[in-house]
Amino acid sequence: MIEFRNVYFSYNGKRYVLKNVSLEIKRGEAVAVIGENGAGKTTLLKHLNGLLKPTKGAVLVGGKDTRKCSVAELSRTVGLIFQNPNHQLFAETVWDEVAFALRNFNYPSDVIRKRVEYVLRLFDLYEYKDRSPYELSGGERKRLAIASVLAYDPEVIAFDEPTIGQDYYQKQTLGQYIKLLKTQGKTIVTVTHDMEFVAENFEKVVLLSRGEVVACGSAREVLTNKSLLEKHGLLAPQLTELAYELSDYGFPRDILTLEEAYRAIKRVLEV
Amino acid sequence: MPRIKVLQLLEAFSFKKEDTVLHKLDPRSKIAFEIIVMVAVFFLSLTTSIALLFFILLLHYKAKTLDKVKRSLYGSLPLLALIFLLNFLFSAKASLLERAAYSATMALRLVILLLAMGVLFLTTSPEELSAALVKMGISYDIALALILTIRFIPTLAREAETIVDAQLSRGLELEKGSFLKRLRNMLPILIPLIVLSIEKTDAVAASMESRCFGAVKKRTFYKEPTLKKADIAFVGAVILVVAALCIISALGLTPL
Repeated sequence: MIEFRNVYFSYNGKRYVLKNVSLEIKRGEAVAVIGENGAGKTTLLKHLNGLLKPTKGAVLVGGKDTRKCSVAELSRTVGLIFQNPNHQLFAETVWDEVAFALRNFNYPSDVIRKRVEYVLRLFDLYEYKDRSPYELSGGERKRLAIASVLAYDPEVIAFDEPTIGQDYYQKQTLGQYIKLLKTQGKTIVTVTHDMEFVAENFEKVVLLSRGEVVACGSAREVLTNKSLLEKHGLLAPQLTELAYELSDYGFPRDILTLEEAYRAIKRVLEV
Repeated sequence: MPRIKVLQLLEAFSFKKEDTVLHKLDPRSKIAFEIIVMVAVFFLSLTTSIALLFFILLLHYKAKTLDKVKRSLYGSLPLLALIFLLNFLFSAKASLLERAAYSATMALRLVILLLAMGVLFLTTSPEELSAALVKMGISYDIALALILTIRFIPTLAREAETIVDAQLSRGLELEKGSFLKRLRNMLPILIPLIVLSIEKTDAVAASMESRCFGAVKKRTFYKEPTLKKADIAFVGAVILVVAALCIISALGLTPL
């Protein structure tokens, strides 16, 4: 679905923010891109819909070279959800906010009506449909920003730091939406610092450090490799940390999710 | 892709600490330089304008700020072209050569003003500037407002870039349609930008108050600006050069 071929990128022509990045993201995969601050995660994400074009190398989205397509064209396939919803909310009402992209993409008005209503109900925002987006709380704004992209049903959904500033409940809700998108066969790419969120929701992990891909593999492979993570300025998920601490008591070290930890504890206690 | 060129233009406002003669001058002498250039620029012909331009470029060379200035000049190119074109089209001058010279002078004026501003802002830290303004009798509140404005221009430009990216990602077309449609298309960018600016202002005010801003009426500074010999020499040299250029221009000693 998405392919990075030896991508180099530089903002100023001097220093490369991305260095020789090669990646393949298959249809229906859920991929998390992790890495310390300034590793180039957001820069990578902006390559997905052509906001940035590679300085060297190529990015292919659905087989098309991004250098030959406009942002509007690519955005129909790749829905990019920005970190801060305040960078995009502008419409008079919540309804218009969601309809914005659909109107830009020239959907017929009855389709727009159906789609907007569907996502507003899905995201629990329908009751606010006539309010101003600025009257919503932080969590609601975030949901609205996501809804406004999901409304036009892109094949790939890319999130930039979706969990930042969200409370536990909002994070859980977000996890639910990601599960739903997975069942619909969508491809999901997320940039994040939140290791627990990755452990619970993503199968594949790409570790970026100083613009280079230093690891790419299953979430279990990458997230339970404590020394690798620490070398690149990251901490393993809390449950994995706990599993390492308890490994003397016969605890398996490759624990990622709450579910797995629960079963492992039960097993150890029974012995 | 419509990248906002504003960001480059604003390079002229970002201060970096260096150890050059110009950095060590009292900000007040640099302000004097600014005012002298600002007034003089209206009395200069094309040739003398070019001479003044070289004088200012020399100052930037001395201050090691040529690089930044180059970038902001590059950013202002479209504006310069526009000024040249408009003057050329609507000037009342008779001959083509005179018209071209006149229009070039107009564009040069902007370049000179931009570069002169650069001399002040690129070599003076915001703290020094506010201390100097206060010493010149401007109230600290006003000096601070001025400095904060300058400080926040690049920040807002960056916000604007992100907003443009976010709206493009939702299928906003900035370059298509009639003039009115394009104007309307600016709304999804302007509204978030204005709201964010207001929120930011509010946050800055709150954080300043929580650090006791305005608790004492009379404010002192860690580093008081003082006029030194170098300042007198600098201002003297500026007056001489500019006066000479003005006289040459007024007497019509140059062809254009």
